[in-house]
Amino acid sequence: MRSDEGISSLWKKEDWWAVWIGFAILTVAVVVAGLEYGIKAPKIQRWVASPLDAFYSDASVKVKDWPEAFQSREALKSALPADTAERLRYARKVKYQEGKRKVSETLGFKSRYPMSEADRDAILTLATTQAHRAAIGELYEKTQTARHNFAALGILLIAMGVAFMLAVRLMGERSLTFAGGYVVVFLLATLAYFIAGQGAISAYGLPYALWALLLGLLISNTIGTPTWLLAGSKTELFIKTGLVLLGAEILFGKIVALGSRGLLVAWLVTPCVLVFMYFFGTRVLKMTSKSLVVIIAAATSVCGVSAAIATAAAAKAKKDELTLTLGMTLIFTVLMMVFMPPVIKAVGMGEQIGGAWMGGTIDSTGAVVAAGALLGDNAEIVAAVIKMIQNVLIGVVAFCIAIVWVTKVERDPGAPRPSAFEIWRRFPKFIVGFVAASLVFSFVLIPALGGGQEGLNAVDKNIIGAITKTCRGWLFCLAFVAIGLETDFRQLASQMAGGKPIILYVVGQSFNLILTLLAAYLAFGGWLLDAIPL
Amino acid sequence: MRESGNHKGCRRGLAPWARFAAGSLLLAAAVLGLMQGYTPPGVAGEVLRNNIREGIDATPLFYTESEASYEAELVARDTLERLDERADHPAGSASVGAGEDLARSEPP
Repeated sequence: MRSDEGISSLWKKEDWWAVWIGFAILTVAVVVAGLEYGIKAPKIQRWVASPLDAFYSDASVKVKDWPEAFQSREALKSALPADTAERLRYARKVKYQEGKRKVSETLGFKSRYPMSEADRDAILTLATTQAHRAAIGELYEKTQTARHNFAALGILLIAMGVAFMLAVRLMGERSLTFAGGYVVVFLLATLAYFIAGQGAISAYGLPYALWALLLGLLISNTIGTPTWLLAGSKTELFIKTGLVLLGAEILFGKIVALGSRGLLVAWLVTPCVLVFMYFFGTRVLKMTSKSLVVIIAAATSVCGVSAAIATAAAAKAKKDELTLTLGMTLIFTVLMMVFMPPVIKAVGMGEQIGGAWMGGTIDSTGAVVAAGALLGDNAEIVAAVIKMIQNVLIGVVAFCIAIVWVTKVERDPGAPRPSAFEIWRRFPKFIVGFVAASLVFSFVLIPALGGGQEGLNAVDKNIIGAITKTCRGWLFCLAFVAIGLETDFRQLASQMAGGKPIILYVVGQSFNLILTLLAAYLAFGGWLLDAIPL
Repeated sequence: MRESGNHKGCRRGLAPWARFAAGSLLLAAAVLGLMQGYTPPGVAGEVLRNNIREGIDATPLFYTESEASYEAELVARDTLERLDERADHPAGSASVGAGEDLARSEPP
């Protein structure tokens, strides 16, 4: 038996460390939510003109019945001085509390800029009630103390660093060497988030994943990645730990949000496209790398980057295969976000049909929401919910691909059928953590927190929203920097030889567009199911 | 994931550093250029102009990173629940009308 098999694999194998660290973060998140201190994992804020705004969170107060005339950014810009309008924001959220639907409204102000008396007086002119005036006064007081997140970022860097150093040490590597490289990878990840958080860049839909890859590629393809930096680039540990956290965000209760309509568009079409693309890539295009085919198929059919990451880990793909897939997905996501709404408008397609079409085909949630927002509220709602239901499918897809890979793809054709023990031995263990996190959150935690919409809200807002999704984002960002640091342009070019990956993507996405449009008409156009009343 | 067999370690000499400097400048120029918020004219730029005007962040990769996704889910669930109520109590339901739509609405 190898030294990393048997009971010692629990602390010697990377997959198991991803599970332990992932569940440690999930446990901390649940405990912190229970204590109700309002602690959140730090993130880089959106900024427009002043870069330092990225490191300061907003001060906010609740308001009620804020005048509708001043709820949009445009309205605030026309009613207030430019600087004041830029720093003030109004947000409206719908939530469930004790079984009832409630609307909560907040006014926020960038805490990096203490609100001046002139700002306060200008905002007071928008108020129509005494409660509004009191809230503005409270907001004024709150902004006199800046709320930066430098300390919180430092704590995150250290906490994750300690956890990974322990893992590295017990896996038999040098933890101090890892630590040096890890700090630089973390700083590069912060820079990637910082760039992606700029107002115009975020409007284009260019996410942190892209910038993290580019920063890593810049170093590896010019000066070369030094050995000490490579030691801190634990791509697989970062990705697998992130995937365990992602499992907690895959809540099975979400799939019924739009009833059978949502399932028809998101869960029936997706596997068809995935299987079609796999067979097209392997049998028609005769691409030799099955792992590249399956991650392109998953990214196209399911939900872009997240699906590509999960599938790449499950199918043990090469890092440059993942890089190539991410690049293609991100480019086409932006193109589809830009061009689908005008096409939908030009042909006079109904809002809900158009929303379902975009939700089932555009590969990222942000791009889907942005495209839907241009068409109208109904399109945005349907598009966002369809994409959410598709996101939940990642768990099933990753698990099935892991099983297929271990039992069929990796199997020597002449060898006997692997035993259950052999399948378990080769099965990627982090997938166990990924699925376990999803099942625990979906079927244990949500019922424990009240069940139904109440439990779902509690998990969404207090646990996932406050801590786990941000930590997961950081882990993926670290992973993308690390992938970039280990990727050579020549390897990428060799993957693109013959243009087969892009042919696969284009053919697959075209099939996806046709099939999803058909499903959208069946589900929302009244062809099969009654249309939701408009 | 599998290794790709790439070159590892620093390259020696000035040429790699010159390439690094050039690459960094190129990346910085791209970032600064994108920050200007240029949008193509006509229909090709409609979505981007709307995103910039409304401050929409189009970068979230997963539904949990998007507030709009949560709101959309709640509105969708609420609409379907009211449709189910109407189906169960067709005569008595006062909250759902034939002209109802999915757009966000204030509670009664």
